[in-house]
Amino acid sequence: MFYYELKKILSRKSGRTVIFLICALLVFVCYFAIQNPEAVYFDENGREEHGYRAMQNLKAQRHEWAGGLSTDMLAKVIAENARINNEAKEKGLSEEDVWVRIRAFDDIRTMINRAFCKFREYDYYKIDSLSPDAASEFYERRITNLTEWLDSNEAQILSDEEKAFLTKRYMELETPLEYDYMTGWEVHAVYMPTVTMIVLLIISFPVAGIFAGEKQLKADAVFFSSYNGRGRAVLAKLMAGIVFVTAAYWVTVIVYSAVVLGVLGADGAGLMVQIDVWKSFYNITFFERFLLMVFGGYVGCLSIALIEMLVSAKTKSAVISVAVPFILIFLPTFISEFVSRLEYGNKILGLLPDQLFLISQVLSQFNLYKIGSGMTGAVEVLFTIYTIISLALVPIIYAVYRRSEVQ
Amino acid sequence: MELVLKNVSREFQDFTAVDDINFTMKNGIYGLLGVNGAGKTTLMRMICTLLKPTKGHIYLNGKEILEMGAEYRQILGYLPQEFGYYPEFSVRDYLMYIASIKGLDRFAASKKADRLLMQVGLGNVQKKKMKKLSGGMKRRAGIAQAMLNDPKILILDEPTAGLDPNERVRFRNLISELAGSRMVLLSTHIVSDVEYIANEIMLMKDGCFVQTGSMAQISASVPVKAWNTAVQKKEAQRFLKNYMVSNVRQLPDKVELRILSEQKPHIDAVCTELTLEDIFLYYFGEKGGESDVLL
Repeated sequence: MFYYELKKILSRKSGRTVIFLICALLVFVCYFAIQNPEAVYFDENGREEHGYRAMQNLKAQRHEWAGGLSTDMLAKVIAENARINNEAKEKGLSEEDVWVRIRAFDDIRTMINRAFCKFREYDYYKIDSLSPDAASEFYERRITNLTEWLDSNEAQILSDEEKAFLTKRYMELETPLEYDYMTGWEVHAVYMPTVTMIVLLIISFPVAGIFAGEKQLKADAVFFSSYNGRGRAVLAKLMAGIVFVTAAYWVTVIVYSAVVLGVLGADGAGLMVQIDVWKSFYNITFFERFLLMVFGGYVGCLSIALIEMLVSAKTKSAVISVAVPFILIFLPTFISEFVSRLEYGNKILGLLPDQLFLISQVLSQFNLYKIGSGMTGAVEVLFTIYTIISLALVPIIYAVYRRSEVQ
Repeated sequence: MELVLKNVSREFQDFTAVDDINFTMKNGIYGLLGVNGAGKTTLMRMICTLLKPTKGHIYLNGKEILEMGAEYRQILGYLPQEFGYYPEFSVRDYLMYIASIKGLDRFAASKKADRLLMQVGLGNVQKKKMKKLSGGMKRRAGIAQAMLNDPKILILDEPTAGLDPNERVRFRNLISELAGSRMVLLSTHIVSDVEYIANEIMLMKDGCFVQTGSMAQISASVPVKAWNTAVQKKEAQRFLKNYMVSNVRQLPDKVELRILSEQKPHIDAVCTELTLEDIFLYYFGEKGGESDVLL
C-alpha cells in the first residue's frame, strides 16, 4: 500500500516536476553560494577568485589570524588595520585595494566595529578611529552596549526579567572567543532559508494531491469501499506524504550542505556564532547553529506540509490546499508591519511557522517567552510548538479522512 | 446471506435522493432500473458505506453495515458509475494497489490479478498505462478490481454506460459469469442490461421503488398490454397523441406502432408479450427512453 501511495505521488506530473525543480534549485543556489562575495579570494594581483582552490587560499590567509581573540590579538588587528590605512594614504590606494588587504582579518575587523559602535548602529570605519589600547574593552563593550540599550526607551517593551535574562546570557559567553576560517558556515547560513522555503513550496504541489487526488480522479468510491479504505490505506497515504516530504527535504538540504561546505570548507564548526552574529544571546557553535537550521527547516516543512494535508483531507481540493504553504510563508511578511505595532506583536510574529526557516535570523533577535517560571528564547519555543503540532496532526488527518463521505 | 434495507432515506440539503426504501436482497442478480436522477447511485453508495443514510439502516445478516465497518467492506466489491483510476499506473499495478487496499497479501493479489486479467480479457495489456485503455477496457479493469477480493456482495453502478453494443453484450455476459453465488446489484438506465440477466428487478423513481419483483411479476403488475399494429401514416399522429407508444417503425407505405393500452387500440392490433422496455416506458414515460440503448 505504502509503495503504491508513494508511486502515486511520484508518478503524477507534479511529482516528476518536483525532482526537476529541486535539481534546478540546487544548481542555482550552490552556484550563488560559491560565488557569494563572502566566499572570494583575491590573488596577489587583486584578481577575484571563487571556488575550492580560492577558498583553500583564503583559508590559509585567515589561519594566520586564527586562535583566541585575546586583547593582544585584537590590538594586533587594530594596528594592522591602521597600518594598511596609512599605506593606502601614502600610496593612494583605492578602497577596493584596501579591502583586498584587510580581507584576511575582515571578520575580526567587523566584530571590533560592532563592539565599539552603539548597540543599534554599525559603522564600517569605526575601527579606524580606535587605538590598539581599546582592544582591552572589546568584550566589556559587548555587555555595556546591551545594558545601555536595555535602559533606553526602545527596550522598555522588555520586562525586567527579560532584561536580566539577556544580560545573564551575554555574560555567560565564554571569552576570549576563538577565531578561525568559517566562511563555509557563514555562506551556508545565508542561503539556507531560501533553500528550505523553496523546497517547501515545490513539494507543496504533489502534497496537495495526496488526499485530494482520490476525489479529483474519482477514485475515492473504490478507495473508501475497500477493506483498508478507512484504516490502513489512509495511514499509508499519510506515511507516504511524510516520507515524501522528509526525503525531498533531506536530499535537498544534504546535497546543498555537502556542496557548499565541501567547496567552501567546514572549518570553524566549533567556533561560537557570535563571530558571525555578534549580538546573539544564544551561546552556541556554528555546528549547533547548522543543526538548528536544518532541523528547524525540517520541522517547518513537515508541520506546514501536514497542515496542507489536513486541508486537503478536509476540503478534497488540491487548489485550496496548495495555497496553505504560500499563505503561511508569505503572510507574515505582509502582516508584520501591522502586527508588530501591537503590544505582543513581535512575540506573535516570532512564533509563526516561517520563523523555522529563518533560524539564523531568529538567533539574532530578542524574542523571549516566559514558560512557567523560566525564560526561554524563540528557537526552543518554535521547535516545541511545531513538533507538537506535527505529532498532533497525524491522528487528526487520519480521523478526518477516514470519515469522508463520497457524494 | 441477507441484506436488508430498512426505511433508508438520504437527504441532501433540500433534496431527498432516496426516500424511505425497504427491501431485502439475497443471492442473485438484482437489476436496479430507473432514469437518471432516480436515486440509484445514492442508494448504492449507501450500500457501499460511502454515504450514511439520513434515516434508516442497512443490515447484513442482522448486523448494521456501518457498525461492521471493515468486516463488511471485506466482502464488498464496487464498480462506481464514474470509475476513477490512477492514470499513470499500469493495469497490473492498478489491480495490485486495489488488492493491497482490499487486504490481500502480495502473493494472493498477484495470483488473483493474473486470473482476473485473463478473465476480463486484459491479459495482453496488463503493462499498459490505465490512461491508454479504451472505455471498454477501463470498465473491464473496473470489474476486475471489484472482483479482486472475491466479494459476496457485488455492486455495479451503470457498468455498461458509454460502451458500444458489442462491449455491452460482452460485459453483460461477463457479469452473468461472475455472478455465481453472490448478491449482485446492478444499476442501470439501460433496459436490456437487466432484462437478460437479472433475477429480480427494482424500478426506481424519485428516490422510491415503484415496483419490484421478477420480470413475470412486474409484467403482471402492469395494467396495460402491448399491441402491435400497422396504420396509415396520416393516422399515426393520432395514436402517438392518444396512446403510450413504445416503438415506431416506418414501413414503405405504413407505420408500425407498438402501443401500450388496456384496450385493443385498433381493429388490426395484435396483442404481444410485454417487454421490460414497455414496462420501463409505462412507469417512467418518455423521459426513460434512450434511442441508443435499445439492443
